[in-house]
Amino acid sequence: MATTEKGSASSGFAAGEELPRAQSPVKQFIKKFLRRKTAVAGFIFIVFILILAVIGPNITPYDPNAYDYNAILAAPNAAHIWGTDEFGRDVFSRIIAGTQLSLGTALTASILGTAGGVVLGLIAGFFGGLIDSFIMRVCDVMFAFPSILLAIAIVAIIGPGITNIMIGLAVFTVPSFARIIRGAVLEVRGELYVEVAKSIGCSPARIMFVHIFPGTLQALIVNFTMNVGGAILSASSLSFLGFGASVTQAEWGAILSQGRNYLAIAPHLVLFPGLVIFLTVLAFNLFGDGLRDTLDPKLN
Amino acid sequence: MKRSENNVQPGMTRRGFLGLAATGAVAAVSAGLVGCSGNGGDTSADSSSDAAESTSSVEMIEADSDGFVVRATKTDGKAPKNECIIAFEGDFQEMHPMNWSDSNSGNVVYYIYDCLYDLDENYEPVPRAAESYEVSDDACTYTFHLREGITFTDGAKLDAQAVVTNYECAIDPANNWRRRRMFIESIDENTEETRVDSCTAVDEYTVQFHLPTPYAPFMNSISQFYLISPNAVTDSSFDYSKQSVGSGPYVLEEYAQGDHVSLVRNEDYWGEKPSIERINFRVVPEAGSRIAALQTGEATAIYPMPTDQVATVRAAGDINMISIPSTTMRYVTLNTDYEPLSDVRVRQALNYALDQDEYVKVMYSGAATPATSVLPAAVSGYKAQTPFDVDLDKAKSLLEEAGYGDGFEVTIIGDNSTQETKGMTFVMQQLEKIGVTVNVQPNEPATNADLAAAPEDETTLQMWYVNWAQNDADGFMRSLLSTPMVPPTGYNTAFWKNEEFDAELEAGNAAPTEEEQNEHYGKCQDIVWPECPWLYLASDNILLSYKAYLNDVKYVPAGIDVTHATLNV
Repeated sequence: MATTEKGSASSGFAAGEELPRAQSPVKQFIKKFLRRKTAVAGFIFIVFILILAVIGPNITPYDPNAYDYNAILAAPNAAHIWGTDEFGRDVFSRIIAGTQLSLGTALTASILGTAGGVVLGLIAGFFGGLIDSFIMRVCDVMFAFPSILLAIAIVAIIGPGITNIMIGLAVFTVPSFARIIRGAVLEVRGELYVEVAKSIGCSPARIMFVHIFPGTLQALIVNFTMNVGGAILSASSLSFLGFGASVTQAEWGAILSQGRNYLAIAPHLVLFPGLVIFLTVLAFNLFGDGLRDTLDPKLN
Repeated sequence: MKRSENNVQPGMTRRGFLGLAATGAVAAVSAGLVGCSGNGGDTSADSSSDAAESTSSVEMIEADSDGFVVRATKTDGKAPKNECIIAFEGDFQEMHPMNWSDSNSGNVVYYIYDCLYDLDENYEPVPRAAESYEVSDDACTYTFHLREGITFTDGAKLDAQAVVTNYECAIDPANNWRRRRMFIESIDENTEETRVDSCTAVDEYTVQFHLPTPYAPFMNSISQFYLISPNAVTDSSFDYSKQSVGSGPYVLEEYAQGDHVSLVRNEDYWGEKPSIERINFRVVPEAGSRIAALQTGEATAIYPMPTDQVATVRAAGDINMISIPSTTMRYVTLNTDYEPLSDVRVRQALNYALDQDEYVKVMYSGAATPATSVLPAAVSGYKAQTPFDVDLDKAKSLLEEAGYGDGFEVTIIGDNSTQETKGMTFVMQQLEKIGVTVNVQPNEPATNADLAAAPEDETTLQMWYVNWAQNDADGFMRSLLSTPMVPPTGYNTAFWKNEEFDAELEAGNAAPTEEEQNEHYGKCQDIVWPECPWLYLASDNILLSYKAYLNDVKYVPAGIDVTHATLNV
């Protein structure tokens, strides 16, 4: 009896008044994020572009490098929906095939730069003092350069090419991330759990990466997303200026650069790569905006 | 502490705008997807045959037997006034008749100053300030008989003494005028070779040039030796950009660098007076603006005519467009020291792979002539060779014989201009057909000049996409193919050396008559052609468009000539 009563009491409790159950933070986040339509659109576009980057070269209607001297600078038509370039190559195929290179460059550069920035930001924020001042002053010096000029200077020194563009872009990404992460570290450094970790004798490296770093993740993701958009633009700009992709490679900036010479007679050569770059950068920015608004508790 | 970097709140209006744009993005993507899946089905069967239905939007330039690409259909137009306005792409940098270096300035100087002999459109000498000339049997003495009664615009007489004074000023190292190279050749910084020993006045109207050794292109030099009044040429403070003191059909009216040069008719000209009163040379760098100026009549003629605007000119109806073969040769040097280009079979294979007709079509919309010798056909002394017609099987078997059946990798350099980059990409596409991988490397022109000047044991050159323009066979082949002209001295960037060729070239230079000269130069071309130190491309044409109310415009080696032209006013 007693057991039954106990059982019924507990089940009755469960069946009765709902206790405010803690929702999973992930679910909560998704729900909030889905409310931001533009961010969702950006996200869908990014996923689409990423898929394209992976499978792009296999699904192009034409070989992106196949020339056809009988169809030079043809306007968009049924056979070439985005027209052909000065060698009769299919613009649509070249842009799809170029996704891999353009996106890959920007992503690699952002990841490298972010990694560097995170390490420097953690060190500066955690140790403080002279090390902090030194790292932050170096970052200030780099901030003093317009970023694209800095990248051009780096590429001019180490020579043109896709790899060097990635290095150049990564270098100018480092200081902004160092600063952001340092700010986030200063915020969490005083938290109780960090004090605890310190008091039980964890090594500085462990405290930095295991205890502090997760606390900065939110700021990191938001800024990383925003940065990728900028990096795509910068990588394309550098290729446009002739520093990046080889002129024979299908890369968005390079396609745009070669197309501009035919602006008067074949505007489609500039229109389509320009549009694709614009939309991709926009999508990353919208997605980043949405992430920030969702994650930032102050904005709710 | 706040994360100051990321708490900027975007305004709602901006977000609304972004949202709209994102909607557009999705729409565009789905359009792309549709096209992608639509065409994706027959991916395996793609290749160029698919594109048969798509048409090129570039019109091919084809000239008739008189050189006309477009003939005006409306010929009753009238010029607004008796003034010829010629719009050029480039600037006129220098009005000094002995110190200019750009061909545009040379074109203006041609109207103001007389030389002893001119070159006509066939590169034949025609008398100007001199009535006749003789060459001695050893080809070392040139005697010119001057026309009597020519005066410069400042009243000075053009006599033998004036010519001698001009010559002395021209070679004076203190002046260091750019045209000094008509008579003095700089071998390197400290070594110079004189082409003329002396210039003497035999009597009042006879002048003699004595050469140390025969120099075949001497008349070519003479055609650029513009005579200035002796009062001005010896006066170092004379400003040629403010006034002129020539004896030519026109005098300088106004010179504004970067904008225009205007000339007015010389009313005291000794020869047949030109019919056109004023000539205005204008700088219009933008191709579209040049075409527009010609359409509205703001310009009477434009040079060069942009190759992609033929349809515009045709539609206008009152414009003529002519295409004239030039003395510019485009080619790719193959470093004959560089393995595998050192094997003649490899070099021939490359030439068999490259389609010159396609080159002409893709690069110049047809306004060029495929190379049939190392010399452009317009150069006197040119001898046609058997062209390397496209033959991929032969190219591949030659590569196999040489041990490169699987192809190889090579780097091509060239200027980073649109046109040169496009040309190098074309070469890459062509050589890909026989398995040769070409890395295209466009550089700053100055970088290329440095790379090309490296001596043989230091050079990194493999292939160089380049061009050369010169109107005498000797200078052309000597600079580019003779043994002494291996860098850093000259431009033999193929590092091709052939004693027999060198001997024929010397024999040609020393031959007294043009016929004999040309025979030797012909042999030179016979020797070099099958050796393939270059990838032979084409010689592009000069394109000139002008209003139908301008008659009898000519293109001479000095440039556009309207001294005998008339305007329907």
